[in-house]
Amino acid sequence: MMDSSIQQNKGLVLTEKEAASFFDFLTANVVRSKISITAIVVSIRNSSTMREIRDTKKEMEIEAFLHKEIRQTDLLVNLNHPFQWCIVLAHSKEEEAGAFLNRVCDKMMNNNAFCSNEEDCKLFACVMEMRNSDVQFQDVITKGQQVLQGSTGEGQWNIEYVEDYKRIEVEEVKVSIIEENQLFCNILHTSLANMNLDRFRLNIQTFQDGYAFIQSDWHSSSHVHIIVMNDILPRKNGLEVLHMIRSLPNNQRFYIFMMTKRKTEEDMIYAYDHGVDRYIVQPFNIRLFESQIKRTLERLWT
Amino acid sequence: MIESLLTFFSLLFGSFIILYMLVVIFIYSVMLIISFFNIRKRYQLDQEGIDEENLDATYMKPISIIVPAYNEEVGILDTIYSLMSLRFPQTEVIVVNDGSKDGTQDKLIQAFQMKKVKKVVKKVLDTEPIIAIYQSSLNQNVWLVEKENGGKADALNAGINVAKYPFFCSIDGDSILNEKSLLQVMNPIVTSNEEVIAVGGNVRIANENNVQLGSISSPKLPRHYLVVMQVIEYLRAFMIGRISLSKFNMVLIISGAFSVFSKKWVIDAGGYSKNMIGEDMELVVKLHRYVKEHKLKKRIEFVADPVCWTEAPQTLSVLRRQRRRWQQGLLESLWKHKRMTLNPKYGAVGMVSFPYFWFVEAIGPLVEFGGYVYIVVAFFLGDIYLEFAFLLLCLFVLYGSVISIASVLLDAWNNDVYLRNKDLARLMVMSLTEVVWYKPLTLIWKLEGYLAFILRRKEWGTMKRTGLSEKGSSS
Amino acid sequence: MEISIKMLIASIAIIMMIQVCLGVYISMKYKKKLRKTNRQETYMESVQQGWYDFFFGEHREVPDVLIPTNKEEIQVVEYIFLTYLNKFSNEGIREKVQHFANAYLHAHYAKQLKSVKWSIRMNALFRIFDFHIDRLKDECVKLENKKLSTEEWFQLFKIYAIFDVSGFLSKLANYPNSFSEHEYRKLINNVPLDSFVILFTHFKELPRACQLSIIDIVGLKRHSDHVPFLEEQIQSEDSEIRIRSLKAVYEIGWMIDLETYKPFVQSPIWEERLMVSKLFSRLPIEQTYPYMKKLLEDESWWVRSETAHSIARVKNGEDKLLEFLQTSNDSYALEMVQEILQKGYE
Repeated sequence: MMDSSIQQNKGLVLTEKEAASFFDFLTANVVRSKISITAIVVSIRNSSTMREIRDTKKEMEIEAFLHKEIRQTDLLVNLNHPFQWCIVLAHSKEEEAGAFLNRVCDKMMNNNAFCSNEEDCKLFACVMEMRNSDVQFQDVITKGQQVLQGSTGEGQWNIEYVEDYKRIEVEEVKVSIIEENQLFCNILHTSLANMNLDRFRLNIQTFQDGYAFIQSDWHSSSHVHIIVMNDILPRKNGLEVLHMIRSLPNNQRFYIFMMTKRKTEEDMIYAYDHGVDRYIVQPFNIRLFESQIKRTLERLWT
Repeated sequence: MIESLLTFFSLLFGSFIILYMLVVIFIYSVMLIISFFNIRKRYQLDQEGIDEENLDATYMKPISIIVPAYNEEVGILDTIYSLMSLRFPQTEVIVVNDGSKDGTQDKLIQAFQMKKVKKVVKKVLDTEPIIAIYQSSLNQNVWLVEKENGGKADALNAGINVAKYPFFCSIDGDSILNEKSLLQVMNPIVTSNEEVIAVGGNVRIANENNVQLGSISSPKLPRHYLVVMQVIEYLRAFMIGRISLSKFNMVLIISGAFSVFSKKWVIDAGGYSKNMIGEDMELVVKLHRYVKEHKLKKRIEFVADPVCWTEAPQTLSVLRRQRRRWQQGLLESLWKHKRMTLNPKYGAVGMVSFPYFWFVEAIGPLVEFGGYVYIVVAFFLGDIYLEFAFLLLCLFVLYGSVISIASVLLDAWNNDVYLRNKDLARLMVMSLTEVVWYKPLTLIWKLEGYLAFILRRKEWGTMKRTGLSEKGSSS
Repeated sequence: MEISIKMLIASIAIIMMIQVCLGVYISMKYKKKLRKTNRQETYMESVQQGWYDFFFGEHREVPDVLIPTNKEEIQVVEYIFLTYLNKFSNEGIREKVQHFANAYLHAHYAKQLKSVKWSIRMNALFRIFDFHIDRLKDECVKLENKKLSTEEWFQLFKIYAIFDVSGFLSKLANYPNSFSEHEYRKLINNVPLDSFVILFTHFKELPRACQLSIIDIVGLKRHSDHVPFLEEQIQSEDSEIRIRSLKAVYEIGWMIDLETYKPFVQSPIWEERLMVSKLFSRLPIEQTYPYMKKLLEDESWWVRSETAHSIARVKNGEDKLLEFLQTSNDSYALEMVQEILQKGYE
C-alpha cells in the first residue's frame, strides 16, 4: 500500500489509529487558512441483504480503487470496521465532496469491476464538512457510522450530509481606526461595534495618529486585522503606515481601508498599487461602509 | 567759544537722535494700530469652513514644495514628515541636496526609500549641474535632487526647474509647517485669481518644542533667554512690519523660511539671485520691480495665520553670524535696487517701502548706536547732557520695550500659543530687559553687517560661495 | 526739558500699567476659555451617542436633551453637524440637519446676522450655508441693503446658489463688482446638478470669468449629458474658452469623435495641442498615431511630454513608442520617449 502511494504520487492510505494525528493537523489549519475540509465515511454493503460483505480480496480491490480516485492532498483511512473507509478531503467543502462521491460511484457501478452479479453491492456515504478545529477524529468516525447505520437508501448509492461540524468558531478580528478627529473616530467605533456579525468578534481600538499605531504592539498578533485610516495623519501619514504594514511578513491578514478627502486619481492609483484594499472618499455612506466591512469578513471563508 | 560750539553740536546731535526716535516710534505706533484693526476684524472668524472648502482639489492649485538642504541632517526628516502630513489636495516635495557634506542625503534615501530615476529636467533657470534625481518608493510625490554645491539660491533655482506644478513653496530644511499652513497661505493666491503672485507666512520659533515626526504637540515658550528674546523679536517684526505693509502691497520681506511663489513670475523675474546674501528679500524686490516695470496688476502678500515653526540660534556666535548676514543682505538688496527709492514709477513700493526700509532698517542701527554711545558719554559729562541722555533712554524704552510688549499682547490676544504656564508674564518681563542687553548686542552685529557690506562691495569678484544654512550647527 | 522728561516717564509708566492690566486680562480670558472648552467637551461626551442615533437611526424627531440651550452648546452642535456633513453622505443627514437648524438654531443665527461685528456676521453666513437654513433666506436678502464687504457678498451668493438658481444668476449678472474665477467656481459648484440647464441658457449673460468657471465645473461633474454644451464652446472665438472646454471634455472622459477634435492638432496655440493630445489617449492608438506622432515632435516641451505620457497610457502605446524610437530622428522627442519608457507610466 505504501509503495503504491509513493509510485503514483497519490494521497496517503492510513489505518484508523494512524489517521487521528494527521486529522488533527489538517483541522488545525482550517481556522488559519479559512478553508474547510470534508470527511466522508464510506460503507459498502450488500444491496439485497443490507449486510456487510465478507470478502477480503474485494475489500482490497475497493481500497485500491478509492485510492486511485483521491488527490494527493487527501487521506484515505481504512477503518477498523470491514468495508468502511473514511476519506478526508483537504481544502474542500461538502459540495465538492458530493461531486467527488458522484464521480466515484459512477465509475464503481458502471464498470462493475467489484460488484459482480452474485453479490450486488451498494455504497453508503456520510459527508461531513468541518470548519472548526475542535473536532476529534474518533467523534467524526462514530458520527458517520451512526448516520450510516440508520440510512436505508433506495438507489444504488446513498449520500447523507451531516451539518454538525460546519459551525465556525467565533473568530476575533482586530480593527484599528486611525483618525485624528476624535468625534469622527467615535462615530466609526460605535458603528463598527454595533455591527451584527455571527462569526466574528471585532476587537476595536482607535489611534490618533500613525505613529501611535506603529508604536503599539497592537498590529503584531496573528489575528485578521482591519485597518481603517485617514490618508493624512499627523506623525506618520497613511501612506507610511500602509508601507510599514505591507512590508510585514504575513501581511495578507491586513485589510486596509483608506479614507480620503483628496480625490486626485493619481494618488489613489498609487495607494492601490501599494496595497490599499479599498478607498473610501469622504463624505461616504456609513451603511455602505459597514457592508463593505461585512463583505470583507465574509470573504475570509472561501 | 569752542566749548559752546561743541555743546551746541552735541546737543544738536542729541536732538537729531531724539527726533529720529520720535519719528520711528510714531511710525511703529501707526503700524501697530493698523495691525490691531486688521487682527480685530478677523477675531473669532471661523476659518475652519474656508479651509475645509479649499481642501477640495477643485478649488486648490497644486503646489511643489522645495526644500533646499545643506548639511541639514538634524532637522530634515522632521521637515519632510511635516510636509507629508499637510492637509492639501496635491503637492510634491522636492528636497534639493546642495552638495551636503553630512548625512543629509543618506538619511533621506534611507527614511523614504529613495530610488534613483531618470527624469528630464527642463532647465529654465541656470544652476550648478544636477547629479541625480531620486524618487521615494513610499510616496511618489517625494523627490530628492542631488546637485553640486551652489548656495541656497542656486538650490532653489534647481528646485524650480524640477518642479512640475505652477506654484512653489520654499521651506528651510529645519522648519516645520502646521498641517493647514499651506492651505491658508495659498488662499490669497487662488481667491485673487492669481493676482497675488507671492505670499509669505508667519514664522514662529520652535526650539525645545516637542517635535516628533514632523508635528508639534504643544507649543511652549522656549526656556533659553536668547531664544525668548528672538521670539519677541519675531512677534514684533510680524505685528509691526508685515501685516501693515501687506495691506498696501508694500511687503519687501517675506521670510525665506516659508513662502509661496507663482513659478511663472519668478522665472520671468530671473529666479533667485546667486551671489546675493539675502536671496529671499532680493527675490521679492525683483518681483515688485518686474511687476511695476511691466505695468502688471500683481500683488505680494503676507498672511498672519499660516505658521511655520523654525529653530532659532541658541548661541551668541551663531546668532551673531545670522544677524550680520541679514543686515548685509538687506543693505545689498536696497543698494542694488536703489533706483527704486522715491521713484514714482514703482508706486507704493518705491515711494513708501523703500524709504521706510532705508530710514528704519538701514539707517536705524547707525542712529541707535549713536544714541547708545551718546548716553554712555553723557553720563560722564553730566550737566545738561544728562537730561538729554535720560530723555533718550526713555525713548529707547518706549521704542524697544513698550512696543515689544504691545506686540506680545496683541499676539496673545489673538492666539493661544504663549499663554500657558506664565509664558506671557515671562515674555513681558523679558521685553523690559531688551533695551539693556539684547538691543545693544544686535546693534553691534548689525554694524558688523554694515562693515561686511562695504568690504564685500570692494572685493566683489573674489567672493566665496557660502553654504545654505548656519543654523545646522546650533542644533 | 525737565517737564518733557517727566511727562515721558509718566506716560511710559501709564502705558506699562495699562499693558500689565491687559496682560492679566488676557491671561484670565485664556483661563476662562480653557474652562469653557472643558465644559464643551463634557457636553460633547453626553450628547454624542444621542446624535449618532438621531442621524443613523429611523427617528425624525430630535429628543429634547439634544437641543442646545446656550451659545456654548450651540458651538458643540455646530461642530457635530459639520463633522457629520463633511464625513458622511448618508441620505437624511442633510435633511435632518436642515430641519433641526431651521427649527432650533435660526433665532441664534438671525441675531448673529444683525451683529455689528464683521466676523460674527460672516460666521452666521457660513452656518446658514452649511446647514441650508432656508428659513433665513429672507434675512439674508435684507442684508443686501447694508454696506457689505466682498466676502459677505460672496457668502450670500453661495447661499443663493443652493436655494434659487434663477435668482442667483440674475443677481450675479447684475453684481457690480466681479469675483475671481476661483470664487465663481465655488459658487457654481454649489448649484444643484439638475439646475445646470439654467446655467447653460444664461451662459452668454455672465461675466467671462464665470463662464470659464462653469466650463471647468461641468468637466469636474463628469456628466456625459453636458458634452454637447462643451462641444459648442469648442467653436468659440475665445481661445481660453476653447482650451478650457477641451479640458472639460477630457475630464468627463466620454468617448469622442476623432473628426471633431482633429483640427486642433494644427492649432497655433500649444495649450490646445496639449489638450488634444490628452484627449486622444481616449481613442485607440491605431486611429490616432499619425496625429500623435506629429505631436511627439511638437516644438513645445509640454506638448511633447504630455503626448509621450498619453501614448504610454493607452493599450499598445509602449510598442508604438518603441516603434517611434526606431523611426524618428527628432532628438528632443527621442529624449522624452526614452524617459517615459524607462519609467513606465505613472
